[in-house]
Amino acid sequence: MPVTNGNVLEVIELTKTFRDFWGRESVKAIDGLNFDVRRGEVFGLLGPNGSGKTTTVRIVLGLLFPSRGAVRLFGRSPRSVEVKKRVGYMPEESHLYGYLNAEETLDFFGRLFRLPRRERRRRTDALIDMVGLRRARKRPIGQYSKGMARRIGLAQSLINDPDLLILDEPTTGLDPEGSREMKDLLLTLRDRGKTIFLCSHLLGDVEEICDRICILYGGKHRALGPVGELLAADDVTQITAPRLSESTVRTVVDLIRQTTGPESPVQVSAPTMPLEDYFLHVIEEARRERLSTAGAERGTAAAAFLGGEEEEAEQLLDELVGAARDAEEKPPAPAAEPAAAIPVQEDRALIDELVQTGAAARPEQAARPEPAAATPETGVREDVLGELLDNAGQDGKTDEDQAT
Amino acid sequence: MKTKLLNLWRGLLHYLPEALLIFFVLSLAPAVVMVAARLRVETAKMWESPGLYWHATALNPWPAAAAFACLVGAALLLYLLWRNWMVVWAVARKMIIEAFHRKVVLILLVFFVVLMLSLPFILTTEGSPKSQLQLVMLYSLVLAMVLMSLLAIFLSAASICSEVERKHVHITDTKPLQRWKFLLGKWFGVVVMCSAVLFVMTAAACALVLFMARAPDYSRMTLREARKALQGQQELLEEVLVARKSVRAFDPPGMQASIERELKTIEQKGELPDNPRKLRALHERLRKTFLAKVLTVPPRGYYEWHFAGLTPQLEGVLHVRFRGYVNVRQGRLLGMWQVVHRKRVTTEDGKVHYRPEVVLERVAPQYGWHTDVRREFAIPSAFTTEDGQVVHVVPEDGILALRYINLDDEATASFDGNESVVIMQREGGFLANYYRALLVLVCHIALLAALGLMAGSIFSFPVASLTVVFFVVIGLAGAWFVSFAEPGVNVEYTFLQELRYAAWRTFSRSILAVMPHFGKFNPLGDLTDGKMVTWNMVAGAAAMMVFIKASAALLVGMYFYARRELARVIV
Repeated sequence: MPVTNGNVLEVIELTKTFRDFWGRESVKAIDGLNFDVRRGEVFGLLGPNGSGKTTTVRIVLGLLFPSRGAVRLFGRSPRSVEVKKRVGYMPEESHLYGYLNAEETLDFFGRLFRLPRRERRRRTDALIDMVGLRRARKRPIGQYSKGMARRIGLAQSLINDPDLLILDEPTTGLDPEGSREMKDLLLTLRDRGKTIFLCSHLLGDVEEICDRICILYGGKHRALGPVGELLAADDVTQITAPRLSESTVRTVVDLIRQTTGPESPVQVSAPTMPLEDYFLHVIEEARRERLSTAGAERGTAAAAFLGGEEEEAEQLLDELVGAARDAEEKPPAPAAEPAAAIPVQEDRALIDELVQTGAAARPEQAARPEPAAATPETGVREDVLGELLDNAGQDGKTDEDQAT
Repeated sequence: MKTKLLNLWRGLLHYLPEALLIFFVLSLAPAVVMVAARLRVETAKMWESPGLYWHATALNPWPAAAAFACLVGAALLLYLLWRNWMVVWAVARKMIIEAFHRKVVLILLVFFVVLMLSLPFILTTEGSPKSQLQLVMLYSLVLAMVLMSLLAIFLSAASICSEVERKHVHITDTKPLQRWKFLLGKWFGVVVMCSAVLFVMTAAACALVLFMARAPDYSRMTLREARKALQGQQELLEEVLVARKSVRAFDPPGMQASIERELKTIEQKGELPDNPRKLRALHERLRKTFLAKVLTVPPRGYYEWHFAGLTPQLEGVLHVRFRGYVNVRQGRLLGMWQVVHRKRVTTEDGKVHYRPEVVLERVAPQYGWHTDVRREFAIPSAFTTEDGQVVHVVPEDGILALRYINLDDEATASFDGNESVVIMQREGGFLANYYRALLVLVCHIALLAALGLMAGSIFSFPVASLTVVFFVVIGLAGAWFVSFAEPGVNVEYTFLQELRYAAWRTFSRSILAVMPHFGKFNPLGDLTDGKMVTWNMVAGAAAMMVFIKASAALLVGMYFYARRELARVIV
């Protein structure tokens, strides 16, 4: 199969306009979108509600047709059957048949890929084990909780051992544990050479697993590039260290000002969620430019009369602050982690070391855990996955292939 | 307990699609065997005298065309199914599970069983076992047919719509399954399920009918009762539980020539209408006039009808049907029926000619008949003459003449020219006939399922179900739909009115051409009347409804479905 310049997915000047009853153009859901997804990367499509993420995914899947522009999957039209053999899709909500149970569902989709009976059975068992639905395998999916439905949704998207996995909000509806498992699984799949294309607005997840992102607003892309690059601020150096005492901080600041000048701005703060800031910054910029979006506008905070929410928040803040050993230097963001619990360490040696080497960690290196480090405590059954993925070449064979 | 039952039901449901498929294939197996046997006979005939065979086919090409279309269509369908069996059957079996999951099939089955079993008690007739049996058979078959038709058309329409609306297609359509195969699988699933259920229902109806027709217990009857019961039983076996072919009498000799002569005279007068509708009407009027003149039997006169295509048989009876009138008020037909053979006579100078010879006098048991209603009497297929010779009523060449002698001294008898006189002869058993009728019903189901899918793949649910209702109404009221705007022949229309009428005619005819038309291939009337449901009818129904109309509907559905955006726009 031809794959042009290593891109699994190419979106070229994609435009989708929706027409009203009389055929007049009413809404431009996507407007001249361009991006590509490279082989073996995790690509995230981000945007606020109504920015065109889902529409883009549906066009990529061939469920909607572009008004202008083109989408090439593996160098072909997304509606080609050959392409569909290599794609797995997990929708945002479970659109599976409620009256089939987990086994029947996977068996049904296995048949659509023309997998022979034994292979279907093997993959069904392995996938059900992998997503942890062994005990619920005989229950109709209609009776599943949302999290379980998401799990079976994931399982069906992997039945054909796809080269490209398309996920719509992969972690929505999952509990924190499930969400962790999902992310670990995606990273594992990436390491095994799969390409993953996901759209989400859970920024923490995206930041954690995506190699490159594209941020959409009003159907246009506002930012596109590797996560690290987009988030890097080149004129600033960030040093991350265990919590330091005030005197240590003062020493460090003095040390820095010795080289950069006495007026140079040095900021000391607890780490924030940089992507979220960046994301909001991008959206704010877009709003300033009065770009239109058909989606939801910015909502207001919850009304004050609603169940004493204000009081509670303040209480929580007090608790956090009170518990902190160094109460005088409040973290600027209330969202700071309860890092106070970490004991203050002896900092002198660390500072010396820093000053001597002058090395500054790149922010993305500090922020992104190595995928290899993340995998050992996964809830995902590595062995099962390995079995599924390793003999991909042989598994990918269908009835027809064997016949020929 | 409830959970256990539910689990058991689910377990059964898992194997149900395969079970239904096997049952469906087994139900069609006799048809394959019978068709193969029939094909062998036809091929043998063709080898024997190709010229004659070709000539006969050219005279009436439709049965051959239908058979050919069936063979080609079936081969194509089987090829498509075989090539894509795994995906098509995956979709089909999911469709079957879905239908049973919705419980609609079960409810319909229970509804049917209750209604069918109560039919013998609900239906009150004049009391003769024959009409009672005919009514029960007709109504239970109509009931099964209507239920399965509704199920087929609504299930198929609703299934596609709900797949799209509940976004199931968002997943299935991203699998390597072409959309046309998706529709083909759905169609196959509906056809397998509805046909299998129909076979079960009609088998039950057949069992009920055979149970009702069982021999009564004569030992507890008086002689009079027993004789009546025996007669009723015989009537059942000879007139209902049988497959008879009906042979119409030839048109009277010289009819065409006479009509043409009359037309020429009218043309010479310059009164020939240039409007084709009026010309047709004139032709029909001339035919009726001619027939009325010829089929009028004066006092002490007689008339002979000729029949061809009957089979010489030793056993059983021939039934003669006719409808007659007299020109006297409150009068009765007073006459005698005779069987006449054409005897081949060679004269002394070697010339051959045929001389009519009465072989059986007084064939009917009575002389007088009520007028204005259809009457029927039986002639034994063979009889023994006084000198002990067995004579077939139908001679070797299959050509038989029937003579009516008017015994009335004053009244003139006349016969209905349209129905004329019909001879019914036993040609096959009841069960095979029943089976052929079922095959025609399966063709109806296949067409309705295709129409439902077409509606469902073009429109969203409310519109699709309305369209489907429209299809059913058209199918039921088809003939009326065309004729209710038929103007009277003698009404003078302006040009505009003529134009409007022609437009309506074209429109309604073309709609009927693609819609289901339950009246056209309806085997139930013939079946309950003990008439043969011919293989020609089965082939015609299969060709027309399955391989032409249903495939056209499916193709239209596939065309639109493949070009449709399956997702809603969310902005």
